[in-house]
Amino acid sequence: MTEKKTTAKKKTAKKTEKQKFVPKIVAFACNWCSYAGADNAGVNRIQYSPHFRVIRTMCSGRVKPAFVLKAFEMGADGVLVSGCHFGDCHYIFGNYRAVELFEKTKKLVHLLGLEDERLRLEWVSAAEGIRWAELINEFVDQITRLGPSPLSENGKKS
Amino acid sequence: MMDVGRHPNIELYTYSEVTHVEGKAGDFRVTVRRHPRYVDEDLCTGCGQCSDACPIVVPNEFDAGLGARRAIYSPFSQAVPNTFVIDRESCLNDDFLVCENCRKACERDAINYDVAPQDVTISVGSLIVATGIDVFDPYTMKTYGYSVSQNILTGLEFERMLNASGPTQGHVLRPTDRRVPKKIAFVQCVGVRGENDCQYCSLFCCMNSVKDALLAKDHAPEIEEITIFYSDIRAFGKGYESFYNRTKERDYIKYFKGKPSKIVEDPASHDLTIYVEDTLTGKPMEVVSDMVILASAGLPSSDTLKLADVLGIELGQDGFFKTEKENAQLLRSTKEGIFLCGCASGPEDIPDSVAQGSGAAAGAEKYVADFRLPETEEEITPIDVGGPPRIGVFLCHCGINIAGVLDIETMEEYVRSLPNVVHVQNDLFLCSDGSQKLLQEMIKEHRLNRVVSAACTPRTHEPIFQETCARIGLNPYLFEMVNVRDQCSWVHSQEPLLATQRAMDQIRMAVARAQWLEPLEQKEISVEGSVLVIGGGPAGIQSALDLDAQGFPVTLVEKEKELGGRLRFLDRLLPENVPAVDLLQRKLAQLKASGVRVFTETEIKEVGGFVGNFEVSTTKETLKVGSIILASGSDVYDPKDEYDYEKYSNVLTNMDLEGIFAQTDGGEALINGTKPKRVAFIQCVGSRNEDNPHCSRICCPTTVKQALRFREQGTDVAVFYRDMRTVGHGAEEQYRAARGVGVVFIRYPDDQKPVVTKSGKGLRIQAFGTMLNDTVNMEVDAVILAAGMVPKEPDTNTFKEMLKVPRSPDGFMMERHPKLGPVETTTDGIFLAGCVQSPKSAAESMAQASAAAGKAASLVCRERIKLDPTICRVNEALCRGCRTCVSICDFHAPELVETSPGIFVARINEALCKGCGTCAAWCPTEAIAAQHFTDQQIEAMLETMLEEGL
Amino acid sequence: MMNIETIAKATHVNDCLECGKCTANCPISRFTDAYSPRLNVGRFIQGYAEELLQDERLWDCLTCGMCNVRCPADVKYTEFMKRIRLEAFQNGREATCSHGGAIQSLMRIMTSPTMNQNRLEWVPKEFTYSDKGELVYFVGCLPYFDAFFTDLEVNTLDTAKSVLKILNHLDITPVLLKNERCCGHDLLWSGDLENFKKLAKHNITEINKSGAKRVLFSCAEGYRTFKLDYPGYVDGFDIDVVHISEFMAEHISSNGLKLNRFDRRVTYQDPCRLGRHMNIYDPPREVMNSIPGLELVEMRKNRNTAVCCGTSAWMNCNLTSKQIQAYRLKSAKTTGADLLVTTCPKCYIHFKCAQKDENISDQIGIDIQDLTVLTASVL
Repeated sequence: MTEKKTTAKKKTAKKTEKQKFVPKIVAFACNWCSYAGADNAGVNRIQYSPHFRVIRTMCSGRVKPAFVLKAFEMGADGVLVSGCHFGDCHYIFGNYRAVELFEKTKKLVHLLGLEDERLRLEWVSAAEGIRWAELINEFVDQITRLGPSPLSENGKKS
Repeated sequence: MMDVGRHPNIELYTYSEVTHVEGKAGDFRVTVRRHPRYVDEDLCTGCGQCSDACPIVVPNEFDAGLGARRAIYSPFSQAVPNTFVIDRESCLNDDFLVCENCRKACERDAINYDVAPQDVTISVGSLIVATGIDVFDPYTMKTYGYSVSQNILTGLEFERMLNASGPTQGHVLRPTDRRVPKKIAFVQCVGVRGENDCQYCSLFCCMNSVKDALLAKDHAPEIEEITIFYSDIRAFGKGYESFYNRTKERDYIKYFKGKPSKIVEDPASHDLTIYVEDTLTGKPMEVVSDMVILASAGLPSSDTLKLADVLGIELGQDGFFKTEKENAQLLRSTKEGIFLCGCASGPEDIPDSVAQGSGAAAGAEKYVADFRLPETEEEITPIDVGGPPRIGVFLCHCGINIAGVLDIETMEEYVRSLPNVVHVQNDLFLCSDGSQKLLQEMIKEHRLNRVVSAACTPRTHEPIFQETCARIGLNPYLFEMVNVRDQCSWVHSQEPLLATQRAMDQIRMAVARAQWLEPLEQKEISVEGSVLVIGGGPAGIQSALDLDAQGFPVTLVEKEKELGGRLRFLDRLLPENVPAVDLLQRKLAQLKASGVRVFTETEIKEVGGFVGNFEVSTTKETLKVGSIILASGSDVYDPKDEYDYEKYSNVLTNMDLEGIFAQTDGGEALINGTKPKRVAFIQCVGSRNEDNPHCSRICCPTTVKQALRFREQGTDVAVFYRDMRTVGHGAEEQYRAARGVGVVFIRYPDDQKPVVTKSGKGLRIQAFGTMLNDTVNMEVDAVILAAGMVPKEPDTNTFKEMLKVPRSPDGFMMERHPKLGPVETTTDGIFLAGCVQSPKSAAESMAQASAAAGKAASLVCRERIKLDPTICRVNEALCRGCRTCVSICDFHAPELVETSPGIFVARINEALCKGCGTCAAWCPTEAIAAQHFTDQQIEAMLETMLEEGL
Repeated sequence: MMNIETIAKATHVNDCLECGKCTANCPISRFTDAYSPRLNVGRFIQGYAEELLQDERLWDCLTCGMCNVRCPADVKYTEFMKRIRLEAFQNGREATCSHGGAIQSLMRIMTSPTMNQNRLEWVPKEFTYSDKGELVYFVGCLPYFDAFFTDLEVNTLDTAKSVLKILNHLDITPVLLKNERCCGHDLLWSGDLENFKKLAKHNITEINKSGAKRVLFSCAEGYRTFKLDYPGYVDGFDIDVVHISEFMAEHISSNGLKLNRFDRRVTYQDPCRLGRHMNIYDPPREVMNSIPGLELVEMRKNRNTAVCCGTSAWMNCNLTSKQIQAYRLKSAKTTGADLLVTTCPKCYIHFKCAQKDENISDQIGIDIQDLTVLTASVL
């Protein structure tokens, strides 16, 4: 078991060396469900990719288009917005509002020619540590496959 | 759970047992035996290093034996307290053999094997029994094959399997071959409704199986077929019927009416054959399934008998604690001062259990009302935090939990280089008392005006650090926490370099955010100590009485001339057949003796204000109250021309019949002047249809009760039903009794309503009966329609507008959370009691009313409440008055105010705002700031993260 | 360090007579005494230029040009503002951006050379366009605004569709650029010269690739920016620039374009960029007057005294902006017209936003339409 893991690790290390592309991913997590879900992954020691950074907000409804666009402007390769499942929101309908804002953001990101996969909205509950881990792994994989954002090195504010 | 663990007024004794009780209501002395955990609660940080070191592996009880744990363990990941415990049955250490691996692994020296059980005696005013249920072990019922096949699980075992943090991490796997099953069968009513000597219905299993069927497919799309073998699907609670209807639309879910006679496993394939009659077609079938889930019954928890003895309270025939009969009080035991809630008195679903918990608390408070703890606060001089940011960063090792993976030294060096960081320090356990004191000293010594800690999760530890800062006068909102344990070292332990890099980035982001942190002041608002109860039915009266018993000024407002609501028209009450009129008289007498101010023939005109400070104008007088309980009730569905109700005088509703029974004074009930020879009940009139999709919950028990009453006077009874949903204490037993005395139950299909026509003086009823699979024709003297409950109009809508409380899809008032907040609403300080929220029996209404009273009491008992300052604020100079915030806020916190003629700007009511920040996200002009999560703070994190790369 | 002398020379601020006509006519000063053009000029010429750069009111100016029209000393206040803002931006100052800066982000993102936009998906199938040809129709921000302002129901792409319909009607197949960028107007006026230049260069390259000799605009700002600022800040731009109103007026007067009946009373909002900045007052009016049945009534303040729509470059939108908008909408309503026509998508968006205030909807409620949408409906 241990042996297998080390070889697997070496392989990934080699791979990254070859590709040299480490994605820049921003994950917005709501305090009550998704951030708690990420904590749950920790308590259960579920291992997942470290190639992302978390920003905690109280509610997924707080994540406005400007934040997401700013992230892409600054060179992010992927943005994940994560909130509570429907019916589970600490603020009752905050996640529905998040969907409305997200739809807007998604249209803009699409117009800009970014691949639709670079922006995701997902629901992770406080008990779904495994889901959080799988989600991050899957998203990191997806963005790694897509490669760097066509905007990553440009468009930064001077 | 975390709230209970942290509450300053709650002393938590876990792993403890009540062994002796003496005294009486208001003055009990209780002996509690505290079993040793062998781990010091004060020292243990819950890091889990001991568990990793333990050589013993045993089945994990929490995962229903499907998973494993060590001999030193935490029962489950969110356990409170987070202290580990040693299971000495399986531990290797005894007085002769020594293992001590855990003791050696513990860096805090928290483990001691030589601790004896300890008895503590505490004085209390009242006791609440919330001992829950045990699950029936189907091992004893050989026909279900549970003992033979591993592929047969109980509902609880399957729940664990579906749980993402459970033993299979949420994967649905067949135990024998660890493959995803193609076919799953649920078998309902295992060990109840006549089996295993249990007559009652265990209530929650139907919805649990319905929900799990849906979840299973979500978790494993490969599942092709899920069959639910049932007798009656009891989707009785709020929102349940529509949930059930949604599952019926899924083509992979099949509902099969019939109870399996036996389940046999094929020894080679481990597939299961279920022998069952399809009672709708009359055909015996053999259904093959890969996995079977037994909806195993809830039983009284194992020590119920022992506890009843210790407490000196009685048990009912079903083995659960007995409730106080005379006043139909579901929350009172047979002894004054001892209360029951949840499944202690019989199986309950989650919303009812939660409500009962609050209700029992309300009852119990009567005996402790004189002992309210004063809220004391010491004066602390605030530290001046002006000038450029001086940030101190504290890195926690958490033993080896963080330091074992992350390179603290490199981190420390890196953090020193960050802008405005003037002090960096690392610590073995930052949360320990000594370290917290050191942190305070460092704040003073280095004149820190911002503090960042990199440790565990802010969800548990931020309040601790914030308090440490606040104690020496540093505004707690100048503290920022980075989660480098739960979301870093623990989850990237295979990649220490990358984990360290991530930790450093997240710390840099936190430091960037810290520059923008602002000191926030907790505002206080005063709270009116009084409560208004709207509606004088059983629920309203109960709420008012409970509050009065605790010494709060209560005003009860009733629209009608008389109090009592629907109770005035009822005959006898479920579950114990207490005469409604007696109960009402007693309640009214209590009310008269109490200090409750009662206004009849009074209506509410307008409600203004907010939590703690409502201003209510009524047709009589204007009131200032701290809280409002809405108990305005519901209406009985009016069948109008359905079944020619309006045309024929011998077509009645349950309610009409109640009136007749109530007037017989124990004599025979006459319909149209004669004693009926035979009557028929038709269930689900005005419920479970397109117009009113909800189940009205009380009609089945009511029909059964009335059928029994008819049988007493020799009238023959037939009941035409869809599913008999006899839920509630004693209802299932009555249902069986009704069958026993010859009531004929005829099940009609959902889409084929019975037809009633005139026939001579009587009526003729024609229906398709699924039992015989044939049309049934019956001549009866009267037809009784089990007319359901519907929201009261226009009252419900009036109150919706007035109180700004939304309505659920079923039209009843919407509660704060369907499971966890059954009596709260989206508006703080406004609570729901009785049928205004959902149909209920009188007893259930009163239990929920007590819950509402408890919630209101916990608010108005305080003179002032502190408002969380992490809310949204409007910069009025930037506001265009565009109304966006007003229209999107579900808490009605923003409103437009006219600051000068024609100029409207938004203002956010601090008492209503919950701080979600959604309005700040929508505001077009940046006029709204979500305090503590401002745009600058979030953008600073984004910028530093992406500018410097990952 | 900022070159005070250069700025002074280019904008004639030293000629200021301190008469205060500018402030008296400034729409911002009309509603808030926190802002005064005269005072800003005064601070600059009397040695407080650095302080001026720090002033957040600096970004309140609509650069609408009303002051320029009135100034007896020929102080070019709008140009002065533009230059001061370039300096302020260099010093790390920034306006309060509406919508959290989302629109600024969109603009900056478009400076990316490698981007590949999906900006032409709106084109209805029945219309023809090309990637090479004589005439480029510069769609500008319309697809982005359409997606961003869904809740205002402005549907700005209707303007683009109308332009295309008009062009096709005239048998013209315009070039639509798949990777057209933002014209840069808003970045320039909020001081971000560097990114403005990047955008301009991208646009020039794209247009040159198409082989076009003429660029058509349906927005006032793009038109101004291409006509005045591209030649001023970027080399190698030598293409004819035309606004849709000029284009249509030309076709009506010389090519015999006939429009159908439209029986409504209409008033017209002169966008600052088209009017005072570019002196285009007549062509839009000519188009409207050629529509049979249409009665054009003027607001009391029109042509070079027309009041701005209240916000510029998505900066410092606030209560004052709203008051200006409400004032202007009331003026429109008092003309007795039931339709307000404009030739700038931003006027349209800003007015629609102001109309969300239900408390005064009886005073400011009036239909608003872009000139192109009106024209396309009577083809």
